[in-house]
Amino acid sequence: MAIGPYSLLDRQIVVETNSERFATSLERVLTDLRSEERPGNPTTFLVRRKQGPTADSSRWEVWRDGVACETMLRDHYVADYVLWELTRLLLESCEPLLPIHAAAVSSRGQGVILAGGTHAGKSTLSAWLTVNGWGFLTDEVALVGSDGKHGHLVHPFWRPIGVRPGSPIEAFLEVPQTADSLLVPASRLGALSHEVPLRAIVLVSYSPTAEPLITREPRPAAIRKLAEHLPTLRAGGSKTFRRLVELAREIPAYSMTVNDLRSAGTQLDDLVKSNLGGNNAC
Amino acid sequence: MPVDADRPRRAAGIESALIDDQAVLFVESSGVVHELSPAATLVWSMLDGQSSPEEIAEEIARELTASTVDLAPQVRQVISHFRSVGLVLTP
Repeated sequence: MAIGPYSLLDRQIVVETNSERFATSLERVLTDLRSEERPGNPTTFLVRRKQGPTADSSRWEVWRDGVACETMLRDHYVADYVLWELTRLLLESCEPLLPIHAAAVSSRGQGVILAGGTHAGKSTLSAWLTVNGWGFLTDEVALVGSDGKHGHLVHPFWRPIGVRPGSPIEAFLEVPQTADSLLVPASRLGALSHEVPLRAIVLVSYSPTAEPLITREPRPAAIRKLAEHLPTLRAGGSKTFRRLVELAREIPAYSMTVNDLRSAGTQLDDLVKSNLGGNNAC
Repeated sequence: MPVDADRPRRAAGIESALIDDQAVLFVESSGVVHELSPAATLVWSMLDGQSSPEEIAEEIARELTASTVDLAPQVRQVISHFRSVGLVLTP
């Protein structure tokens, strides 16, 4: 059976599988990426469950347009893997947009990118903000483009949010967690945001002991730190570097230490309000 | 072209941007970005393969109107760091 189509920018994706259970589960997880357009020439993922000699020895194979991607996956990891493939597909085809490994949210029509390393709390913070009235753009890849009228824009990538066991976001979910992580469509937590003008980049770090603090980041340091979150920097070379420099020249960057989601949300609210007043200083 | 250890020259394949009096360098081969301090930026701007560290130090001292101060040890230290991270050619 086939599920989809799903939309990644201009690309259409269809997933075919021989497992009804997996199809139902994946459809629920990818609901925010669903497209109503008829796929012209979609990228097709085939996710096939193969039964082994014993009842508990089944394995999975994932194929992309007829090319084998992965095999021998555990049941609970298959959806994560497909999601990883979709993210990879997005990175391959997002030109001329600049992808940043970051979450992004919007408030009052203004986009804020939340960049940070693994376990910095990007997903949790973006989920928390979505629950509390912000618009969700992404928890994984922020796509930055520009037009003459609005300057830099941040585009959505509505992949489901990965919620880990023990996350404060669990309280907002009606389904208890059973696996290492749960993929939650952001629309279950709040509103999805379409593309918006980008107003601030916040470099997020998690510290359970530090005081929550948001400070303006000098532009040279912002370039160096943001470079760590550009998955296409090396492949894109100097062209991508120049785009990064242009971004840092025009969009103010901040560093924020997070140890409490409520405080972080308040500080980001204040940041957006100060930007609305035309004051980029923090 | 042979490399003169006493007249350091920038390595090839480095894109630079000057922002707020600081150079930010991108090494294409590694994808690494370096952020230079304002002082290191001055040194970087004078690496032309023609000037020795002492000449660079004198030039910086003149610019800073600190001509009585010997900046050569600091300049050598900065160049040594550039060399260690591949920003300056090694003989």
